[in-house]
Amino acid sequence: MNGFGAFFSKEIVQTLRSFRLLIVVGIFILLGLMNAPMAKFTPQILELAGVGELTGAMGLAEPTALDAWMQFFGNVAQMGILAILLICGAALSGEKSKGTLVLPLTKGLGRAGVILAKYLVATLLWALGMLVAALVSWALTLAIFPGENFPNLVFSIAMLWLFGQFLLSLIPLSSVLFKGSMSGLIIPGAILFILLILTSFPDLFFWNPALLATGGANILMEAKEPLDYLVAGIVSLVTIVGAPLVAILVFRKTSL
Amino acid sequence: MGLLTIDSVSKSFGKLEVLNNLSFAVEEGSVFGFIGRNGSGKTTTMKIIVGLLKADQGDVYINGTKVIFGQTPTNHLIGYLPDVPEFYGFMNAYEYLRFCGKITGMNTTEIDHKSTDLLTLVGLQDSAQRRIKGYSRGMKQRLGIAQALMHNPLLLICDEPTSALDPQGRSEILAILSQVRQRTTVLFSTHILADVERICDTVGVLHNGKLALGGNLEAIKSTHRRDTILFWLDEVDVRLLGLVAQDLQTLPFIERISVAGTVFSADVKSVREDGQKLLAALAARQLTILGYQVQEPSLENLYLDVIS
Repeated sequence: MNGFGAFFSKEIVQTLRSFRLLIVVGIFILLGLMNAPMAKFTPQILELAGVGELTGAMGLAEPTALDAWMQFFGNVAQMGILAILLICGAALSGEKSKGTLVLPLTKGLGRAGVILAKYLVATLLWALGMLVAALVSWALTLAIFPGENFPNLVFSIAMLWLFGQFLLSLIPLSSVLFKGSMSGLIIPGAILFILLILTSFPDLFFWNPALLATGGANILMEAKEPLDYLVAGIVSLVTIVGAPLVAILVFRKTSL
Repeated sequence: MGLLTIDSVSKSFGKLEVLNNLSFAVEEGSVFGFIGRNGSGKTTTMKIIVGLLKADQGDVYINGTKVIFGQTPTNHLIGYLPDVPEFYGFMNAYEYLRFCGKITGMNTTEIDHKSTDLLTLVGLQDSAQRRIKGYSRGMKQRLGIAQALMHNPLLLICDEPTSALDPQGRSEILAILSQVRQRTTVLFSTHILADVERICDTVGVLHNGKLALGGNLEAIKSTHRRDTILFWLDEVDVRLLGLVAQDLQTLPFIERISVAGTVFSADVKSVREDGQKLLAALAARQLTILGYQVQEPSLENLYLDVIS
């Protein structure tokens, strides 16, 4: 892993100067801000839109903190994961196709160092994004719906984080296997597509990591137990560690 | 064994055979001009040397150590400048050199000292704080040489460093490379023969995947020197030249004679022995000789001979 430190420092400076850090923080603050107000005002919005009349005498249930967290899981699982994939997806494939790795590699930089530095930065960005979104959402939910607590909230959020990390771990492999500046998104995109289809059969494909994305909401609603997601969690963890290692082995045999 | 030894290297891309059992060596302290037309395999050879491409067969040794594809220990001995070097545009030149220095394990004091020295050598000291994304092609090429020399490599490999530059940029790069030869051995690929004649002492011509011609440039020129003598004659004698040529053709030491305007050229068996005789023969025929020159073989002629 020659030159890992130098390459990691370069990645950090690049993340700052290309405004990637700012963009991640900005997007995830927004994703955190939307949830509680959306939950609070959805009944009024629906009423204004005339939906209230359709529901007739039943009316709409009074919104709760649970609705705010449902919004959180919906928003972050979709827009948050999409954003982090787009922001981190071209980090390695872009450099590969542009040729900027040639000089450092011919200086003696190890290929493992390249993969690990980029993976570490993506991991940090995703963790930071999740933390920012969760903290903002938590603060606003507490302000708008005071007094409601969920014992499994942190665990539920961690499940969503794990699924995002699972997808990020596929980027290095995708980047080294395929050519093109956005090739890092091919495998994560394809896997995400397939796994989302498989979520329609949760009992049959109980190992599906994509179940983790919606699992947090199920646990908060107490429709599922944390242990129901054990196998999906293990599959994700193995991929998170294994896929980048495979990417290193492949990258060492890749002509540049 | 030279500083760089290429031993029976072959490489194909699909059905296209680019290198076919290529062997040559670059001796320490030389400036080796690696010549070949576009697509002849110069870049492929260089990429194999720096471990970016895998040879189908054969080995490459740097200072006696075998190059292993995908691994980079021998790269500590090499400074490499690709044909179009790509940098991180968000860095400035000084930051980029510091990044390179750190990768090669230099300490901060060494990095500071060396960066200042190299940026001065390549003439970028005044632009060192500007972001690289605003650099011209020539500036990037100069920064490319600086980064390649950052870790005091034994061998500097430059892939067509002058091809994409304007005449001024070309001249500047050649001047820098001439200076660099005092610090390190240089392997320099090009298809611009004038550049090779200007700075190289050793050449290799790559043709059909093999080294078609190689060795010390002066030695090659002297081996391939044709014994041709050129005479510049007075214009008044031009109309006589045809007759004189026919007449001289009968002399035993003359192999071939040609006339172009006022220039009269003759291939003889030996310049040393026959030059005087020819001079006397022309003088005896009342021709005024304004100039006499033994023709030097140009690299261009040699190159065209070899590849034709």
